[in-house]
Amino acid sequence: MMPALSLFLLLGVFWALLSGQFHNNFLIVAGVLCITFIVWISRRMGVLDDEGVPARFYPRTLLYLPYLTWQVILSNWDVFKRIWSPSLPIDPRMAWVDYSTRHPFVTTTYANSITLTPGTVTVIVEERRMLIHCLTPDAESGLKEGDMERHVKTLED
Amino acid sequence: MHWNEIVTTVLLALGCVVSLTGSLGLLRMPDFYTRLHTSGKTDSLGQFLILIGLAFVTPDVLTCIKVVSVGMILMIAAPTATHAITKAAHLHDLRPWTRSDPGGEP
Repeated sequence: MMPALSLFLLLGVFWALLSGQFHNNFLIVAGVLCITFIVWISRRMGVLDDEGVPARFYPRTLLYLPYLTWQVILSNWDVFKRIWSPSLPIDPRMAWVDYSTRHPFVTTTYANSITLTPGTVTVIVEERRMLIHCLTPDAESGLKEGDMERHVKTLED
Repeated sequence: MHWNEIVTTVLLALGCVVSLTGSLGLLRMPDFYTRLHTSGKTDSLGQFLILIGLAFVTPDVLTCIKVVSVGMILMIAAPTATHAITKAAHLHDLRPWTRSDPGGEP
């Protein structure tokens, strides 16, 4: 019941913000009917579980965003310097990196964060390790130190 | 100039520089994987900066929220697309370029 309720609220907020219709009664009723229909269909499809609507992770994800933004800016600056440098100082390699996050939502967030920071791209995600394409040895060692993984794991507590 | 126009100008200029760098990296990088690094993400920060910059000159709050949501959705969609393309290349056994093996690209 909780996933259905959180999906209903989420879709409601999304609809209200995008449409901006707070005064027309007909449109509000139509919106509520549409949202109810979507929630009913998701229930029938069986996607209303902890993986389909990971609402309990959203507040901590918002707290994680500033750290992620800062990492994106830092690594962008690093790649920025390398692109403009005449000698193109890159040494790309593939590397397996172990991870220990358990919940699919947290693992997805971790893999997406790795891809979002320039210099590292997640290629394959397996049960306990990921294949990462790194632009530089520094990017690889920075990832293996596990600073980002520690921050992502705060989502699971 | 009002203060928000100054912020917008600075953010738009930064976004343009970052996007230009992404395009330059696309031309300079040696192979498929390294090109994804520059095109997929230096570009996404550039677009994010441009959208955030535009959010400061929107006429009302709802438009501002829409512009920021486009930026947030981009931050989720861009790495997912990059990951999908990279995985497809890896599954087709595309060898990455390295310093010791410059003939990586078939």
